[in-house]
Parts: sequence; structure tokens; C-alpha cells
Amino acid sequence: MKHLIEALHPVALSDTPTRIQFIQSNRWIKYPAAERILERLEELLAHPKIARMPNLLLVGETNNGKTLLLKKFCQLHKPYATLGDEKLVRPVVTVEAPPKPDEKQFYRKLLDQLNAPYRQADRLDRMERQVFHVLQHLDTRMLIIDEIQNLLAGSSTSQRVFLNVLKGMANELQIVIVAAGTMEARNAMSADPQMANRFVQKFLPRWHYTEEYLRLLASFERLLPLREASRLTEPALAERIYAMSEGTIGEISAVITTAAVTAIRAGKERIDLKLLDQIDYVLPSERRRFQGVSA
Amino acid sequence: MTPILSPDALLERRILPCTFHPSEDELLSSWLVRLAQAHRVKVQLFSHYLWPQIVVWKRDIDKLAPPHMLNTLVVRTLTDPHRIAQTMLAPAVERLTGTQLLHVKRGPTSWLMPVGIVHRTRQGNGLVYCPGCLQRDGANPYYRTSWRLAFYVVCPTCGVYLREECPACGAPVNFFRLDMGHQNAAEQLLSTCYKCAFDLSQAPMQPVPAQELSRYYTLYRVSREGWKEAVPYPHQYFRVLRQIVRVLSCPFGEALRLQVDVRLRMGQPVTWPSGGGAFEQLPIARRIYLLEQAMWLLEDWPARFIRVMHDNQIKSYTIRRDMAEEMPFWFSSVLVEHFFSARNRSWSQFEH
Repeated sequence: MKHLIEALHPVALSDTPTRIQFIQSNRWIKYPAAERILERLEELLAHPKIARMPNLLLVGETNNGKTLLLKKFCQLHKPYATLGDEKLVRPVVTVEAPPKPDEKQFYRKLLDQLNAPYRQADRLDRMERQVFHVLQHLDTRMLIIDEIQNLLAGSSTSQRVFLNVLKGMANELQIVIVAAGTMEARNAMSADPQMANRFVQKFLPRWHYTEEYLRLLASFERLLPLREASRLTEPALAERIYAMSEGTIGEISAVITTAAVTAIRAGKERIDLKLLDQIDYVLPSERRRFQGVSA
Repeated sequence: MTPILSPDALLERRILPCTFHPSEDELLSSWLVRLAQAHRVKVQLFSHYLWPQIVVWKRDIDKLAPPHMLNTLVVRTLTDPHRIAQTMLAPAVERLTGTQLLHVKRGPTSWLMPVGIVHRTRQGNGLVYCPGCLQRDGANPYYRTSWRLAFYVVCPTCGVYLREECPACGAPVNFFRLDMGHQNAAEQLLSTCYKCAFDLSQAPMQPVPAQELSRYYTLYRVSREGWKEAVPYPHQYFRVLRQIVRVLSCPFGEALRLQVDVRLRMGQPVTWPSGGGAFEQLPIARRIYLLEQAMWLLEDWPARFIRVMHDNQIKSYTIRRDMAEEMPFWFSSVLVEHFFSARNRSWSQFEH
């Protein structure tokens, strides 16, 4: 089983349910674009406190690995307790943007995330003070807000108010704010020109059929506990997977995972073209068309 | 020392963000109020958040909190279980009485002052304080476990008598009600009187005379490590001490005679501070009055005791009457040897 990394040999030899569960669980696969963004996030985290902290807007298409990338970053910076007085420190806090630009809901989500007690009916200013106090106490240096495009589900005024809240947080707490969302997020952030200026945009681009894409497939293959080599990088297979996934990493992963699970269930130990034909997979663009959204 | 927790365990346990350890000898209720303040929420909300099923402030959590309350604190703070258990009075009371304090037990407990819970207020003076210690705490004043124990009437650190009420308005200490009617929960220090906002750390301090102070030092040492080699456990001394203060507090008959004589022999004026009932429920002035006599009687054991009893013609019955707990041998042997009149009496009650 030379096609596998050594640590996976025992998994490859285990029973079917274990292997399927392993394949279906989320795994982080390194690739250059993500590595570059992780490096940038590291730089931001280490940034000294200044009056105008740099912020970041991570933009990528849906299912292109933004959330997983941010989760990976959070895993690298987990909370810890200081040695002397055993104070809790959470350098990075992640929160999902509320379904509409509502500050109170945002604060509630944040306090829930921080495991802090709070009064549901508290006034906005008191809730804000509490959030600021807790974040300061936890020595938080970066606040990551995912699904920032949710901002668009509100009037332009409420969008601006919400962005002002973020600005206030960045200014007062001197923390780095990282917002992540789909392409529409850019429109949401541009509601306030000042904010658009503050948030440096980073893109997580769609994949193209390049050397990098083939390297990604090779990485996938090394992490799939199939007992035989599938040679995903061979042009026929690689092109087929590319066509099925339409170039987003979430879809590439979904195609390969589904194929691998089907292969194991069918008693095959490798992915081939025939198997890719067999799997029940609807193209992302088809799915969108089905929902009445143009691709 | 607490083992270092893994980051995943920290997340899983949903550790409170602004948690800190209780201070030296801090009461559970005091720690909870300070934790609530640190999170910028009111005390009631904080306790409802952690224990939605129970009304925390309707019970004496400092005496012995329900186990699930402590479990929640063990999970959601970084403080180790042993340290949390020390914020309750049960271990101290068990040391003084020699019996285990059970969660189901209600009603009076020897040496533990009742706080007089009426709904969610405390109307008794069951918690005393030392203005000097509160002052020394600076920005984070807190209440000590020893301030709930009936024999803690002086502060061994500051050398002053403890106080039981607000000098300005006479209200008992109710620090967990400080945020009631206030917008901002965290601004009030625990040393503030809940009723009139007087700063209790600024209360007048009355120094303890040197001779008395040394008696209290001995008493507090006994409460920690026992009296002497032959009486190695605190409860063996404290059972007798409690019986003697009980006898001395009796305002008639032989007991009154004994009390007046002891006072005169101590060279102190015979006064009669008001208050009756169980020792734990007496006002602090009366507790001081009785404790000092009892400690003096037990000094130079047993010579002084025998002499005073003989001079006042006190019978052993007066001394051992209604003694609820088992009499320690060091005490019963002296009673049997020196005061027992053999006629028509059974020996068996002394043979423990």
C-alpha cells in the first residue's frame, strides 16, 4: 500500500464501517492558496496593537473551503489557561454572522460562543459593554466572522449599522477582525466605503486544471484508506473529477469521498472512471439551476 | 496543583470566560458573587444561568451546597474540586463537632451561625466581618469562611473585634443583594452595605487587649490542630467549650453564680450583654463575654476549673446537664474524680 501515508495503513486494513466513517470525516488537506492565507492570518494574529488594526475579508465561492480553512486556523490557536493564575485565554474567537444584520443577535451569538452568561433582554449598550469586557478579559486578538454575506439580508441602513459595530470593536478592543463569505460578501462590505478600505480582500480562487490541482488529487489519494492505488492524477480520471466538481475544493472532496465510499461498499479497492459514472452525483451548476438560481 | 488542561477539554467543559480562583479562605457565596461581577451580570442571573433548576440564594450554600452545584463549578471553572470544597463550611464544622455534616441535615449546627434566611434575604447576623481585612483586600474585598463560625469573634491578623452589622444602619451583611435595584452589577464592592451603601471596611475597629488576644490565638490554633498531645482533635476541646458557654449563659442558679465569680476573678466588670438562646445565635458582644470566661476556665487545666467549681459549690450535674454530644474523656474524668457525689448515681454515663 505504497499509495497511502504510513499512518493510514491500519485504517486501510480495518473493517468497512470504520473506513467509511474515516473517509466521511472532515480532513484538512494542505494546498498552496490555503497555506498563503493561513500565513497571512498568522501575521495578523501577531500584529502589535495599533490604533487602526488591519482586517481581512476572505472571499471564496460557496463550498470552496473557507470555513474549513478558518477552522484549521482556530485549531492552531486553541484556548489555553495561563500557568500562574490560571486565567483563560482565547486568542482567536470564531462566530457566524447572524442571519440578518442585527447587532443584538450578533452579541448574543458571540456571548454564547464565549460561554458567558448574559441577559437575553439586556439593552444593547450593556450587552456591548459585556462583550467588550469578556473579549478583553480573554485576551482575544482576532475575531473571525464567517458567513458575512448574511449582512445582505437587511436594509442598507442596518448593514451600515452592523459594519459600524465591527468598526467600533476593532477600534476599541484593538483586535483583528477577519470576515469570510461568498462573493456577495464584497457587496455587503462595500456598504460603507470606510470599511471597504479597511478590509483587505483575499480570494480563495476556484481551482483550474493545473499542476497544483493534480497535486491536490495526489494528496487526497494518499489520505483515502483504499487498499489499491487509484491513480487519480492520471489525465482521464483527473479531468473527469474536475468536470464533476466544477473546480471548488468542497465539490472535489465530495466527488472523491462519494466515489471512495461507493468503491468500498462495492468491494472494489480503487476509484476508476466506471465507478465515477456509477455514483449518484449531481453537478453543482445543475443543483443551482434546479433551485432556480442561475449559475 | 491543577493539572494543565488540554485545549479541547477547555472547550468541551465550556469554561466561564472570566473565571478566577477563590481567594484564601473565601466563602462559596462570596466567590460566586465576585464571579458574577467579573462577568458583568447580576448575581441572580449568574446563578440561574449555572443552576436553572434551583434557587441558589434561598438556602445556606456556604454550609453545604448540593453536590450538583459543586460539580457545575468544577466543570465550568479552572479551580480544582478540592479547593472548591474548601469554600464551604462543612469541613470546618465537621472538625469542630467530630460528626459529619449531611446535606439533608437542616436546623442548627454547632458552631455555625445561622444567617436567618427569610425568602432571599438574610436577616440574622450570621456573618461577621473584619473592617481591617476588608480594607487590606483593596479592590477585591471578600468574605472568609471563618466569619461564619461562632467562636470567631476577633481577627487574629488585625487584632480587632469583628463586627456583625453595618455601623451606619445596623443591617446584617447581605452582599449577594448588592446589585438589586442597580443598573450596573459590577460596580459595588462586596464591602458595601446592601442597605445604606456604607463602606464596611471603614467601620470603626476596636482593638482586642493583648491578654485576650493571646487566648484567641490559642483557641484558633486548637480549632486547626487540636489542643495538646492528649487531646489531639479539635472536637474533643470544642465540645466541652460549647457546653461551658452554654452553662455560663444560663441566667439563674448555680450557673449565674459561677458566671459572676469567673468575671470577678478575671478582673473584669460584671455586665450582662443582652441576648439569649443558642450560642451561635447570640449577638457578638454576648458571645465574646461568654467565650472569654469559658476559655479562662479551661486554662491551667484542671486546677483552675476544680478550684472555681469547689469555691462556688457547683455540682457536676450543672456542668454536664443537657450535654448533647459525647463527653470527651479528659473532661469526664475530672468531673468524676472531683465533683461526682456517688449516692444514687450511675457510673455508666461517664464510661465512654
